[in-house]
Amino acid sequence: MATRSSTAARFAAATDALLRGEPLPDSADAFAAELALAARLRAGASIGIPDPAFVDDLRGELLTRLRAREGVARVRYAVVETDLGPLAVAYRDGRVLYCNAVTADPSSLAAFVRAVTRTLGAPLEREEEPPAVIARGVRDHIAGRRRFQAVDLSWLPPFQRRVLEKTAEIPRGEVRPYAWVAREIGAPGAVRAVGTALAHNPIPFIIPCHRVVRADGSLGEYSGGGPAVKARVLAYEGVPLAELLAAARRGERLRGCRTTRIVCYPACRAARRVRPENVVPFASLAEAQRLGYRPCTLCRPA
Amino acid sequence: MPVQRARAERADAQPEDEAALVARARTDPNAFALLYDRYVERVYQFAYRRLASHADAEDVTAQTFHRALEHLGRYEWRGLPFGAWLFRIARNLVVDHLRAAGAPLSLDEVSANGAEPADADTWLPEEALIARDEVRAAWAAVATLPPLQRRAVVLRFGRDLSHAEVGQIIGRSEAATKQLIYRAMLTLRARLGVR
Repeated sequence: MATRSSTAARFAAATDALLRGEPLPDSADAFAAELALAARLRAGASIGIPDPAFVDDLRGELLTRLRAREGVARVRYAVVETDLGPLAVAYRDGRVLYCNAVTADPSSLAAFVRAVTRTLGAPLEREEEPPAVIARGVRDHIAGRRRFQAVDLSWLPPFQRRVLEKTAEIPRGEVRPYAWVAREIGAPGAVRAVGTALAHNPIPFIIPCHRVVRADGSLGEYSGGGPAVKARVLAYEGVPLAELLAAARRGERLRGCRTTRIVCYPACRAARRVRPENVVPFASLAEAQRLGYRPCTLCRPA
Repeated sequence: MPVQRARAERADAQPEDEAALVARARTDPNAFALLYDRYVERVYQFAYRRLASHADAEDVTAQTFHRALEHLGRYEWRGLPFGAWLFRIARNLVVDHLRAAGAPLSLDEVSANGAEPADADTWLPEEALIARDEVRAAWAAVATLPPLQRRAVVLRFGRDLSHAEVGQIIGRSEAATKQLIYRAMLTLRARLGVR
């Protein structure tokens, strides 16, 4: 047995024999041979032995790509400076496939390149000057001047695509619960799956997954850097976070207006125009409807 | 003399049919696969030697072959070995990697970036890195092991991981991993005549 304990035992036996001046036990030969072989293998490690699984995977990837040769356009990437900081953007045929925030530390851009290369199975080419359409489009989108829609979600699984397309409809400065996204895409039971789909959003910031929050008013997780980043981005977009959280703590999930008899999410732009004296807080849509309120057509509360 | 030895090796590693193989590889996956198999380990070792990281060596190797696949149409056989062309791509990617990591570049790497390597054979000394025949023979024998044993041995001795760590990667218990590696070692000892 080559287990550690038996290796140790054989080593001890051999040492004892040597100390006592006795001949080495038989097992010592096999032991020595094993050590010699291990030493040879270890000596070769410094030249860089590739993991066979990596070699096989890459082989498969290359051949798949070669077989699908026609119509393969190159994926390029560039760094776009936005109001929120530098954003690495990968695109193909003028459409964004992938993006993420990067820092001045070059390893963060390297990590981005690695992640995209792995996911897309295609090499990335660096472009110092991204196409103006993309650079300006992304910058304007982040700053809220103009919506940028040149994204490519076609390679994603259908469910995730629907989640992301729906999320893209949430207006800047507002937030929606995960359950809202689930209901809107016709899968009201799939709240958790919505969370997962958003956690793997390949285009954060551009597809505003940060605008999807928990029903209890807390922000929930954020793959782009945790709740603190989520809060920062939302605050930048003009979401009154403290006020929304305070309302949620009071048990206010929805906000009705006494004069219009319309009920909204507290983050809806219509709800935020309701005068304080006319606000009627509700814990659920059912409760509001019982009292004759109708759901807002802008935010469509669930 | 390492370089002479490397030259001699290149002669066996690059048979006369390589030009035809490269021409075919543009459209024939099997031909490309042959080229890949012929060069993938050497490209990996080339990258690993310079980057000293398996993750980075994997990145560079993957990018090198993806780029080669993309630009195969531009490669022309003018007596320049396919391998030399491949290593030029790899070298540029290594330089990008080092630069991205903020590492100071050696003169060798800097000069290789902008200009053509002065000598198309400069990639060859890589071959000489496998200095000892017995080390080479041991790893060559590893390549003939069944896939799972092979991977376990690579991770154990090529990455210096513990049995438990290897087990985690290949999805086996620590005890099963020990057994697996033990059986592999028995096979290797028999094949190499190490008793």
